[in-house]
Amino acid sequence: MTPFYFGSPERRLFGLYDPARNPAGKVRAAVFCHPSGDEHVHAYRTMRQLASRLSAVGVHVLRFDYYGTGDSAGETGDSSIAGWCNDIRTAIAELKDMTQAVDVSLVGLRCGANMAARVAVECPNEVADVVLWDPVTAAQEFFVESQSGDDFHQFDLSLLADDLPPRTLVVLTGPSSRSEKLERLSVARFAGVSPWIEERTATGTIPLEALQGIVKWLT
Amino acid sequence: MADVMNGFTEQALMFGRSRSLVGILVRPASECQARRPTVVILNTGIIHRVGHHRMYVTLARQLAASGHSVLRFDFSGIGDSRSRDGVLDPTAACLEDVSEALNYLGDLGLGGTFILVGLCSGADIALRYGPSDERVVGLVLLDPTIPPTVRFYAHYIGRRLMRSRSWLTFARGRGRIWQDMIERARLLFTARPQEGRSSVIDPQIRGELERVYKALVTRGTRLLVVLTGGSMQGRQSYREQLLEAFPNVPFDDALVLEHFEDSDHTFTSASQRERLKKVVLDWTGTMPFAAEATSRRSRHT
Repeated sequence: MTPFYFGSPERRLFGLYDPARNPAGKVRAAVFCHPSGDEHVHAYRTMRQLASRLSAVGVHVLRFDYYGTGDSAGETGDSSIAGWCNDIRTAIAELKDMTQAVDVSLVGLRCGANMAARVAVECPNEVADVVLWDPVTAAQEFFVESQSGDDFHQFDLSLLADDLPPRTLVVLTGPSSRSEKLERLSVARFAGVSPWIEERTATGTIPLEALQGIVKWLT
Repeated sequence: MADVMNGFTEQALMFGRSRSLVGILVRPASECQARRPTVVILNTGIIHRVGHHRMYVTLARQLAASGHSVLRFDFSGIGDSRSRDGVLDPTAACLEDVSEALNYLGDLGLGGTFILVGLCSGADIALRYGPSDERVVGLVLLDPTIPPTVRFYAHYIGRRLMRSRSWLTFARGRGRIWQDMIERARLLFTARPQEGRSSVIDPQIRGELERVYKALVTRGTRLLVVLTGGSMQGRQSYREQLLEAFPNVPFDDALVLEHFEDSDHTFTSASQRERLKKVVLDWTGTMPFAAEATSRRSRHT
């Protein structure tokens, strides 16, 4: 694993690259799109575990922090959902450049899933498949609370569902509200813990079954 | 991997004996200011190096802009740092990690003097490590473990008496008072805490903490202790609890004690985080070790 900074001097992003171990055949690469705020902190351990597991089966993985979050440059609150989607595009370009991958998988958790879906719809040649883990289905309500000034409907999965890549997996581990459009996609449900809920920080528990399911589906 | 910004630079690092520890080194942009004590910020529980509400990122940048080099890093097995091989218990592993971090900073020429910063378990690790390393000239302890006092229990009972639910809990033999009474009885008859637990009311823990504080203030280490009204364990209820819990420690001028009555344990409120940042910056800027570092620099040039 290598921690590093990438992106433009005006918008430096922090990333962690896990190289593929024993890669074979087509170069496979995945960019993780994390949740925002406390959910990011709570899910950190789980996402690191997922990166490690994917790396072990031959997938290059880039985890990164959006501008104004985590270890990336920028002040907290200095951000917009549209800006974070651009950060995902920057991360895709960076990982492709590092690995010579033709396209990447996106793995998004919570609002990261909504943004991954948006980027996947906008960049069909860059994104081979998408994992949408406990996406925010009431997108407008969530984003109104957290980010004023964005066009919330752009991230509403019920509006994006028809244009998502054929290989899209919805992973549900938490109390996500159901959506008829989402139900038409490939959905995997896992009992047990949701990695982004606060209680996880007290125990360090990770949703093992969900991790195994995602790794299996992606490889 | 440097990221140059206004007043500071940030660099992602892997260090330690097997390069298994991950951290972010934040340095002042101006070289002439770089001789103040280097600040090392420790994890809180299993929260990775950015801290709750990203508070350590902001604090580190502000400290760097004021002339301190700052390292935020993850203990082994936390955040992005690999678990440590071997048989060290978690506390011993954390102490070893701190030692490796300080030695690494020393190799970079940033190892003259250090200030350790920690919240909750991070504060306890800083406190335990401090006496073992003379390079540590200051500690910022946010909600460290403090044994309960008579006044604490008076506060606690007074608050609970106002709630009918508390009466019910007490009558059922539950709640903190019962738990502490049972634990005290256990310690009295067995001299051992409940298996798998270290209790803050254990006289051994209290004695160890007292020895640590004594060693630090005797050596001249400066302490900034910030207590919140919303301590997670509910073990602190008033500003002077630290002083009354350790009446034999001659804190005197070594201690600056702050009580954030309206803050919760993780400084969720942005205004409380801003207040904390100001308190820390004021403290690092006015403590004698700042002047000492400047004086040492003058003698060297």
